[in-house]
Formats: sequence, C-alpha cells, structure tokens
Amino acid sequence: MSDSLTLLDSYIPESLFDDVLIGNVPKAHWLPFLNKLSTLSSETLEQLQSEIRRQLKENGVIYNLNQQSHEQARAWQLDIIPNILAEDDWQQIEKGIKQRAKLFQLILQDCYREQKLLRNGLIPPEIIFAHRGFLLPAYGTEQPLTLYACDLARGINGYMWIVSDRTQVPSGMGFALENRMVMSHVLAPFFQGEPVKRLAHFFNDFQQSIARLSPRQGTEPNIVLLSPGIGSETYFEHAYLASYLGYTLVQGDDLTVREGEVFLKTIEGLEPVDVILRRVDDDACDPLELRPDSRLGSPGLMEAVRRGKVGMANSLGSSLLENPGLVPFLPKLCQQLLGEELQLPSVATWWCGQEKEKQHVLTNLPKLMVKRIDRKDNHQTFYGAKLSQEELAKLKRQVEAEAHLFVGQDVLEHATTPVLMGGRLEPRHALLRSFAVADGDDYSVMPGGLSRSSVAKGNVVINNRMGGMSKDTWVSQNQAQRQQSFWQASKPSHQLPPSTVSSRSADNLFWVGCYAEKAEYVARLLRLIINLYTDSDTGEIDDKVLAKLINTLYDISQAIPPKAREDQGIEPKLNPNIDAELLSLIFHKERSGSLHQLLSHMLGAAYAVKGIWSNDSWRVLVSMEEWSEKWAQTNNLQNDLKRLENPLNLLISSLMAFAGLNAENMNQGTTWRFLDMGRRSARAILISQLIQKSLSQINDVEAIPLMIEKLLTVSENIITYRRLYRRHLDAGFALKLLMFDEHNPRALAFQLKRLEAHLAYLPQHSPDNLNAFEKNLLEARSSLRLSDGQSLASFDEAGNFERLDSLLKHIIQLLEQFSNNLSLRYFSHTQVAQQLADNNAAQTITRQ
Amino acid sequence: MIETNFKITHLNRYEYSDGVSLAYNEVKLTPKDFSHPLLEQSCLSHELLISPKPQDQRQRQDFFGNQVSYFNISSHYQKMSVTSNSVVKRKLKVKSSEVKNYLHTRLAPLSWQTARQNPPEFSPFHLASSFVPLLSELKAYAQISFDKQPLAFNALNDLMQRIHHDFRFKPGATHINTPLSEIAKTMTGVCQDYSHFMISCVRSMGLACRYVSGYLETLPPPGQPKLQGVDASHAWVSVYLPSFGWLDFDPTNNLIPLDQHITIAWGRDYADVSPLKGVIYGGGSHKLHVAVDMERKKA
Repeated sequence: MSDSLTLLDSYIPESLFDDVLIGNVPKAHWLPFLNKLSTLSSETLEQLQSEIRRQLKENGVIYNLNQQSHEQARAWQLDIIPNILAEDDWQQIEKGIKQRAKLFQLILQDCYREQKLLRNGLIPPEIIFAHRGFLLPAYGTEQPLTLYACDLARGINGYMWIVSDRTQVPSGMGFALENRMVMSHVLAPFFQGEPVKRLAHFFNDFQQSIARLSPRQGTEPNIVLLSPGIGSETYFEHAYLASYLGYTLVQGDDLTVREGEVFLKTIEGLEPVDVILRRVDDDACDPLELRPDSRLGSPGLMEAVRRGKVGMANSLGSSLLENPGLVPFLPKLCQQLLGEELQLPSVATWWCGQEKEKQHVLTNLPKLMVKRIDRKDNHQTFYGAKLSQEELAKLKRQVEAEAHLFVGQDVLEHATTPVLMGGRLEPRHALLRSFAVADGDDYSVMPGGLSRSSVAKGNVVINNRMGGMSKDTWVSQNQAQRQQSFWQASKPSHQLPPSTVSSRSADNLFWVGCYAEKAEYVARLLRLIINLYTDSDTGEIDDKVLAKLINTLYDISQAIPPKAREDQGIEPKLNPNIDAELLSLIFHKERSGSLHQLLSHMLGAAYAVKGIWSNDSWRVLVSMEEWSEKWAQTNNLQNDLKRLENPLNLLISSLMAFAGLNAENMNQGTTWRFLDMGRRSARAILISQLIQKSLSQINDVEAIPLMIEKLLTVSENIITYRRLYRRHLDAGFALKLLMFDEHNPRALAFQLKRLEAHLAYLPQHSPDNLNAFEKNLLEARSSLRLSDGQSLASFDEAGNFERLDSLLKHIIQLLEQFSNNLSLRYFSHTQVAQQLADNNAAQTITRQ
Repeated sequence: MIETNFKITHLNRYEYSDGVSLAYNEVKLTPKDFSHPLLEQSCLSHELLISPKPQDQRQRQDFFGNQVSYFNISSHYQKMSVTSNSVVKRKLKVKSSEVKNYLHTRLAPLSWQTARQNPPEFSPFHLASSFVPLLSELKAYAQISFDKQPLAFNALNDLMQRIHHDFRFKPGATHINTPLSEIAKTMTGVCQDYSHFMISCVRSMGLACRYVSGYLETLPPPGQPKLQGVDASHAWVSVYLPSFGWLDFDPTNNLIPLDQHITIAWGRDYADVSPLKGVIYGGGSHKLHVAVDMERKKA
C-alpha cells in the first residue's frame, strides 16, 4: 500500500462537509489527482514540497528587504494539495460570478450618473453617501467595472457563499498565475492529458479588456501598471503581472498630466499613456481632487479621466461597491436590473441603518460578526463570539451611534479541505478569490483563482493580506481543452516601444550598478584585511599597512568607525575588539555601509526593476539575498575569522557572475547602458579612493612596496602586474596599470573611456552642446590624460604622494558631480508636491 | 422688490521664494444662480484672470452644481495671481422691513419634526461630513433650542442666536483643520467654525443643512468713506425647509442673509467649496495676498 493512501486514511475532515471526502470515499473529481498522488512516496512528496518552496523563492519573492513587513512576507506558502473544483460545480459558480459582476456594473454606473436606484428607494442613500468610496469628484464620469473579484467560501451545506466583493484594486491574480506556473513545473505529470482548465485564455481576455479602455482605438495602446511601489506588500505581484502582461510598471511620480492627458516620464521625454491598470487605491490617485495627503498618485489624473483622455481599471470611484451595506439589497436589485434571481448567495447580512435589522444585530451581537460598510483606514471586523462583555457593550454603543455605517453578518460554518502539514493531511478552512474581467457585455472568469487557507486549525479568519497558506485552484475538465499558449494567443505588444526606459527604471539600474561595484570592492578589501589580520607572522610594517587598509575600508564603505577612534582622531590601533568590528562591518543589518547593507541596497534597486533580469540573473540575486543570513550563523566566527574567507570568496563569485550575466545576457540598449554607467562610475570612484586613501598619504617610505602589492591585489591587478613587471614593486608601474591603462578593465582610464562611449548613445546627446555631466566627465578624463605618470609616482621624504593625492581628489570630486548631474538630467527626481496654501478660509468680518 | 447689483473683485496673489515648475489648481469663485420665495441671485457676468497664463483650463459643474475651474500651469513662475471679476444681481422679493414678518407667517406652520422629511438626494446634507462630525455634545446643545421652539424657523433662529452669543469671534485662534470637537470646547473661531458648529447642531436634529461660501459687504463706520479691499469672503449655513426651500442663516452675524451677502458655492462643509486649492511642485515658502472688493451698482 502506498504512503499517499495512508495519507488520506489518516485524514479526518472534522466538518459536515469536506471538499474531498464523502464519508471515507473520495469524490470523483478528486480521483485523478489522488491516484497520481498515491504513486508518490512520502519522501518524494517532501521533495516536491520543498521544490515548490524553492521555485516560489527563485521566482522572486524577495520580501524581507522591507524589514517592517518581514514576518507576514515570509509567510507566503503554496500547498502541494490543490483546491479541486468539479466542472459542473464550477459552471454554477462561474455563472453566479458573471451575474454578480454585471449587476455591480449597473449599480456603479447608476450611482455615479442618474442615481435612479437611490430615488426609487432600491438603495438607501446612506449606503452610498456615507460610504467613503463614493467619490464626489467622480460623479458624472463613466464607471466601467473592468475587473471584479470576490472571496468565496464553501459552507457545510456544500454551497459556495460570497464572503466579500473586491472591486477597486483586486490583488491575487498574479499570485494565482504564479502558483499555477510553479505547480505545473513541479507536478508536471499531474497536468498530462489536460485534466485542469488553463488560465491562459483568461489572461488573454484580460489583456483585450484592458486594451479596449484606450481612448485611442485603432492604435496600439500604451498601458502602465500603477503601483504604490516597493513598500507595498503586493509589490511582487505588480512586478510579476506587469512583466507577464508586457505593461510598464510605474509609480505615481512617473506620471504627469499635461493638458488633460497622462504622460510617462522617460529618459527620452514624455510618452503618452492610454490606459492605467491601477494598484493604488482610488482616493489616493489624485492629490488635487481626492486625498490631498497622498503621494501615490498624480495631480490632474481625475481630470484626465473625466475628459476621457485615459482609460482606468478599475474606475476611480469603484471602491463604492466594496460595501457590505449593499448586500441585503442585492436580490431585489438583481430582479429589478437583470430580471433574474440572484444566483450566488451572500452570507446573511443585516444593514443597521434599518431599525428592525439593527435590533436583530444588537440582540444577536455575540453570534454575529460586525463590520463597517467601508473598509477605509483598515477598519476591523468584530467577531461577536470573541468579544468580552465589555467589548460587546462598546461595540453596541458604536453601532447605536452610527448605525448606518455598520452591518451584522452571520458567521459562516465552513467546509473543510485538506492541507499538507508536517507530512500529514490536516483539515482547514479555505477561501477562494475569484476574478472576472469585462468581455463586451459579459464577463470572463478565471477558471479557478487563488485559494488561501488558514494555517491555524479551526480558524475562520484568513488574513486579508496575501499571507497564510495558498493553494492552486483546479477546475477539472473531462475533454482536453486545446492547448493555448498565452503568447501565441495574444497580440505581441501592448507596451511602450522597447526603446523607452522610464526615468525611474534608469535610476534604479544605475544604482544596481553602483551598489554591485561597491559591494564587490568592499568584499575584496575585507577579504584582504582578514588575511592580513589573521596572518600570525607579521611585523611593524604589516601592522601599519593593515591599519591603513582598515581606514580605507571605512572611507570607501562610508561605515562609521567606532566612536572612540573617531574622537581621538588617530590611526586606529589594533584593539582587541577588531574581530567583532570586522564581523559587524560584514553582517550588521542596520549599520550603514556594512556589506549586508550594501547588498540590501543593491537587491532593493534590482527588485524595483524586477522585470529586467533574466532567470539566471535573478537566481544569482536571490543567492546573494540569502548570503548574509546563511553565513552570519557560522560557528566560531568570533574566534576564527579565517573561516570568513570561503563565504567572502563565494560572495565575490556571485557578484562576478551577476556582472558577467549583465554583460552577456542583456540587450545592450539604453537600459543596459544605465546599469553599466552605474558600474563604471562607481568603479572609477572606488579605484581612485583606494589609491588616494591608502597609498597617496601612506606617510612611510618603507611601507610603500607592501601597500602597492596590497592595492594591486585588492583591485584584481596583481596577476597582470606580475606578468608585465615581474616581482619588482614600483609605484610608477603600479599607477600606470591602475590608472592609465585604457585596455585594463580594472583601471581608472578604462572606466572613463567606457562612460564617454555610453554618453554618445544617450537620448538628446549633442556633441556641440555638452551637458553638465558630460563636461564633468570630459574634465576628469582630460585631467588624467594630461597628468604626468612619473611625477605622480614621486613621493617626498615622509613617503607622501602629494601630486597623486591632489589629482585623485579632483577626479573623485568630478565623478561625484558627474553622477549627480546625470541623475538630475535623466532620473525622476521630481520635486516634492505641496498643497497650495489655504487662504480665503480664515477670514471674515463680523458686525458686532 | 429691491434689486442690487454688485461688482465684485476677488484677488489672490501668491509669491514664492523658489520657482514653481508645475501647478494644478481648482477654483470655485463663480457666484451661483438660484431663487426661492424670498430672494433671487443671478450672476450677470464672470471672468477669471490667471497669471501666468495656464497651459490648460477647463470649466465644469461639480456634484452640488457649483462652477469649478480647473487649470494647469506648466511654465516656471514665482508669482501667481487669480482674480475673479463678477457682477451679481441680488433681488429681494420682499421689503427688508417686512422680511421677518414674512418668514414668520410663511414658515409658521412648519414644525421641525416635519422639516426632517426630505427626499433621498438630500442625504449628503443630513450625514456627517469630513469637517462636520455629528457630536453628542452638539446635539445636546441644539436640543435646548428645539425643545423650546416647536416651529422649525423659530428653533433655528434661536439656535443661531445662541451660537452667536456663546461664541467668541477671534481670527487666528483656529485654522481650517482644527477639529470641531475642539471648537465645541473653546467656542472660539471665525465664520467657518461658527458655520460648521451650527451645521452639526442642525444635522443632529435630523434636518438637512449645508455650508455656503460667499462674500459679505462691509459697511464703513458712519461718516467714513469705504476703503477698497476690505470686504471679505465669508461663510454661513443653509437649512432646507420643505415647501420653502433652502433658507440661509449667518450665525457669525446672527442674521438671515439678504442683500449684503453673495453666494458663491455650497456643499456639505468647507471641503466641498474651498475657493482655491492646488498642488504645486517647487515653490519653497510663500507669501499670500488676498483682497475682496464689493461695489454697489445701480440696477
């Protein structure tokens, strides 16, 4: 007997209705899956589950960058057991969702235009006017309900119930897609013979539906996905969907409204935008007409929508429908508007704005759940059963004071579904988020959706955020549906011309390049320092060089040395705590300039342009994300710093692999140029700083040869040097190699030459009229080329290279100006918006 | 019948320490047309002069029927001025000396309980709004007038008188974001505080009440010539009385606005009628100069 059958044998549903079992017998639509599952040993199952985890992670869930959201972010998991729906069951659900979406579309249009339903008494006015999702500035505008989503749960009678509606920025679609991608890789044999309805068709409908919102029909629309940015808990999904659908991922600052039209700021100038797929709450989209304190939108957006110059999904104003106050009125509205019975039942709901209903809710408070009609400001749901007497009394007072703002709802008795936990199947409750997209007069529904289940047993509260355990949702089908590849089915390019790079992307790429270089040089320098430090056979000169290198490390990483040293203003002595200090410079999460932080900054910028990286590049990035966490725990690091050599080697290899992939795998268009400019300008500054900080002020003639050797080592030039000049360590030769050699990729001159080459390809480059940053670079390059190598290599009796020192300082300053001026010209450093001061309000004259 | 024509000039001038690179604005400065049994107002002409010249400007009506001008300036500037020039006719249908009698007679049968029955479209003026929460202490305050006076008009008149009496007018004591609960404690402020206070009272009693923004003509002290630019933008409230319409009350001055008030816009509270709002990029710090001038013309 196989392990998996044992698996099901020990499964006890603990509910009157279970998704899989009737009594002890599995339902027919589960058999194909269960049969395949039964061929797997428990070891294989374990392996597959960890393969799922690995793939989810690799596909880019770099969540813990944002340290505040660390905990919830890490909770994203995918169960190997899917949620399987029988075909006929699904057909009923699908019909019900379509009907509900159509009904909501009619209600939404009416509320923002004629308000007949209100005047005819079909909807009580408070449900509209007291709901903060009713946006007065949107009154009179078209309100197409392009996307509709709802959360469904199965009750113990086996029926699906609507638990809540999502109409403004429904999230989860990308997670559903991601889950399916991973499952179809990991469980490939389970998908043979097409027993599961594909998602491709839905995403095809989705694209067409979004494209139809474009005000410029007949031309290929420019579509952007408006995200709140990397701080958003569903940012991963925004990046994932944007890249899957071929939309440009933008934030509010990237858009600007001119003459009632919306434009994207790109490095080439302003590009018109036709459709915005928004993931920003509607009231945050325009600080002029909507929430004045919002930084996530763009002023004038409401006006652009009003004039019909841009399509918006979903419409500004659609959050009105996320309104449990409407629920009790839906059956009658459905009759009136569609002439049909409402098909999918909602959980029984009483709106407290009606006297009788309010009394019912107040009387049954301990049994019900109570929520507000809008969910702005994260208003919570109250579960009567979980409240103390005192809390119940308080809730009662709240409801009585503003009854029309509250509803009471029955608590659904959930069916159970199995979840694989710790090698056993455990019964859990599940929610299914389903998605529909407008398709002419009808809606197209994703076959399946995103299933989530509670992690704790018996818990009906499934976190709204995308945490908890998720499941792929399978709608089983008997006939093989024709395989339809998304890419073949859809038109090739609903996207901006490939040459277009948004200013924000250019900005992020530049910083990925900068931080990657900086992390590499800091890692090399740390490796060198640790080697020197742990070398037992050292003399006075070695100590001096070591101290100098440590100082250099502080300078280039901009980490602040321990206060004591700084206060005394002397060269650091090798104090007994240096082991701890070195560890802190590597692993400290909060210390500015630590290697960990440099990597975090690099990954943060890389994550912000996630769609750009190839899978291989992404894998390397993910490995670096884990690096610090993995090695910080190594045993006995404190007593044996030598153990750090291997991890540092690995990290340097990863950084080199990333650089190599960038060079070999990326299309070398404008996007790549900004990445490479970030690298080159950072490397130029780092080389200059290294020489200037460690050699030019060494202040000890005897230490010069050793320092030259170390400099050549840390800058990856020692092999080349030995090949060219043998063992003789000479400052003149070393500087020639490090600074002047235009063929040496590790030399200063090489970087400057490459930068100059990039500039010629930038948009709006004109050789006759140089920009500030072009002048900075030209001056840096000329200063270097006009300087005399021999005189730079000469030092005074004290051992200081004065001319070298001043030249390098000058070049560093110019390169820093270069970066600043380049970023001012091309990146989206918008000035901060401010509200016009309020004036006329505070004055009046009385006649006393 | 008394007809008065006013020529109104309302200037707003902003001066910035740094240049402004981009500005989006919304202006509500066009006086309204309306009429009810007591008086009638019509805007005979209106122009909006904006400097620097906007690259984009558009006029529309908002949810409440107010005129809104949207404009966008994308040229660099350090000074911006918005001047609204209007000529407005205000027609009083009853002699001023007879107004009180007229209102008493006309509104006498209407109890305040009856005045609460309104069509669903008036819901926004019954509910709490962003600047006007419905506070239990204000309900208690209003209750005194409404217990004493069964007739709607008398109760409202009484309430207005009490607010006028209990409030201390003090410019600078409050700002636009001072919460009503705070104002209810200090009973100090300016016209919009008086108005928000009264609106909350009236809505607590179940009547529909709205916020009105407009101008108030200032009369010079006896024997002195009128100075220019001393008139002011002002705010008061309006209550819906079935079979009559919206009747205005000015709690700051304890009077029924007649021929010295000009209505620009109305809404649930200040947020709906803010005369000039905007989002600008750049600008640094700023200085603001506002002047309103109302000149009577022979009709």
